Amino acid sequence: MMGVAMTESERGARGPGAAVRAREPELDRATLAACRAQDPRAFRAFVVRYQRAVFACLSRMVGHGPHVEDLAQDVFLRAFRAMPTFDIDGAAKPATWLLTIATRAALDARKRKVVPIRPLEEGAHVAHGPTPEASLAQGQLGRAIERAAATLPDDQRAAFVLAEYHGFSLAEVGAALGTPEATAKTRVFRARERMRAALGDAWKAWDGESERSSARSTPEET
Amino acid sequence: MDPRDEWTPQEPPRDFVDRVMAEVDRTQRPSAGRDERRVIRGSWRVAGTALALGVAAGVALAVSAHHGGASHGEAVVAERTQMALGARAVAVLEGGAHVAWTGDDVDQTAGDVFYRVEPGGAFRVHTPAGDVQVLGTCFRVRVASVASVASEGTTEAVVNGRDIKVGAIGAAVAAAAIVSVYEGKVAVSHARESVTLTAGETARADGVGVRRASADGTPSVEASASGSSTLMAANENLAEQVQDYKRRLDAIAAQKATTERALADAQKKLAIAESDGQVTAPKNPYDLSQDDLKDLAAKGEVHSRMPCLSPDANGGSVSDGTLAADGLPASEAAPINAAVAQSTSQFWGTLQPLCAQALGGKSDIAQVLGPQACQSVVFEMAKKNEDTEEEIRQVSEILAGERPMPKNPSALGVVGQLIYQESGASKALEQSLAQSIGPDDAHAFVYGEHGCWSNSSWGAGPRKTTPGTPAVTGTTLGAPLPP
Repeated sequence: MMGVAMTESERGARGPGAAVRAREPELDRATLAACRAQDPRAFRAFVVRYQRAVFACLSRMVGHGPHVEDLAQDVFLRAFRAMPTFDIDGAAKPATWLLTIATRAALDARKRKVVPIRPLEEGAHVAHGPTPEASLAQGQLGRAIERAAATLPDDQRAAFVLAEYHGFSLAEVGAALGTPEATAKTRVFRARERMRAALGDAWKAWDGESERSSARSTPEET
Repeated sequence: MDPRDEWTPQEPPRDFVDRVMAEVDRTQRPSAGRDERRVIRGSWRVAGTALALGVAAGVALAVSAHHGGASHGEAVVAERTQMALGARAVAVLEGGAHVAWTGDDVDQTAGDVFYRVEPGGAFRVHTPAGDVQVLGTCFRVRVASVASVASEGTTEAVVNGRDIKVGAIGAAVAAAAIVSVYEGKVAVSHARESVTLTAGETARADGVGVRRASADGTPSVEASASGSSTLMAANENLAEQVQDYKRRLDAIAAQKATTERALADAQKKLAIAESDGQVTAPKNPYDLSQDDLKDLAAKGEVHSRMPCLSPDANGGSVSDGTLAADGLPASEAAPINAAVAQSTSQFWGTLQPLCAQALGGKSDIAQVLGPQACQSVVFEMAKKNEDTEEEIRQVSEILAGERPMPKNPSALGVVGQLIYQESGASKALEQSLAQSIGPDDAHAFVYGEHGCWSNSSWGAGPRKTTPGTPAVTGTTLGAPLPP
């Protein structure tokens, strides 16, 4: 169990759900340096370390399915090619850098419709199931969240996922989406408003978790 | 439980890591993709060994070993990106460029790339339109479709029959490579043809052959009969000329070294004779008095001495051995190295913006090229656009006190500014050092016989008009200097 205790100023600078998500430690500098030199063994460690985060990010942005595996593979290949340009001493952590690549790949795939839209909008996994309200009534909170998120525009959903699930600061969300921080803030805000409207009381529990989470820990960044 | 965790993500399959690594391995294989390209351009051949020859005469190049990228890899960039290719090369890729490299072999299939290659064995860039081979130098390769190159190349030129021929035949190859050289020599080869380029020169390789071109890639009229026996003969003659010029330069360099040794011996003997047998150190010929400067101004000459420039503009460290040879204690190494670094940094501060200007405002590329290549770039550009002889005369007159320094240094022209900066480097260094190690030691170091120094002499010949008469009114020199 990893724990992150954030100060008030840190929480203020990060996304609304940032405090909830504790992160696994990033790869050590030596491994990253070897990755930068495109050492296959080091890069294997990189994939092992970050594959769950990439799958989590992508599947929440484009929906579950085999296309996520293809997209994730493409993300890691892009990362491998771009590794020599990654600044180990820069502000961006490897996870932030990689998930920025993943986000752009996901948005690009959605834009070009190379991933099926169905899983998010009309797929059996979501749309043929109950509405968020019905899911909540059945005690299926996860399904309700997924269904509510599926109604968000792509850019809002990406901003929401990065901020709530991956601990991105608003500036990092903006950088990932290629927008100013203020625009990122607006997107996160609007996404949260829509989620609040869809989830009702369940969202209050969500907010309550955020309030309590500054000193708690979670096991995995997912 | 955090309600967020209710939205379960998709988990990676067990074999996902293996699949990614298999794909990485496939793209990393040295022959991946390259064999296919070699088949396509099977008629190309690698040029013979090219000679790496420093252009900025008298400037020693201390190669740093700060590079060290992956030994193989591939990159497609969306925006300007600098990266190390292998152990010897740094490349600046413009957006849209694509390179794949293994060791010292680079496949550049698209885009515009600057290369800086440290001296060593052959370094090759393969393009769909021909190959480039160097030993260590700075150059740029631009790969484009024939249509785009032809359109770029004719924007400022009249389209003639030859251009049309290039486009028509080139369509079969569908690509052209424009190679521009900033330092040293580069061989550009295509089938049985090879053109050797020196600093400031450009060549174009495409479906009809390889030949010299203007900076924008437009084929030179005199060399564009590519593919014909005329060009083959011309290339052979050119190669012979290059060899001949090199032999002459080598002979001149050897003669210069011999003469300098004889001069040093004679000066030593003279000093002994003038001091009644007491040995005193001969005066360094670059330790100039005001009378010396006036004599030089009358001849239209400027002499300069400054510490050697390293590629990264940081200067080299002075060894304890050098200090001992100049009769200086090792304890003075730190202030001397600091002052030398400051001197080279100041010169780079003047040179870098001029270099960036010559490169069309690309300061980051100037940074990659480094001082030595930048000197070549700036001088080559200036030779085409400025009256450099007049600039040398004006600087000599300023140094002699016969002409005031213009309020705006740019009025001296690009070469004038550089020479002025160089000519003041030794005195500035001596003054700076005098504050930390004393005037005697400072003088001994700056004008000693040891260490790495760049001594330069610039000669334009005496002025034919009256000194102070504004003789230059060219656009690059700006307004005439005040008399």
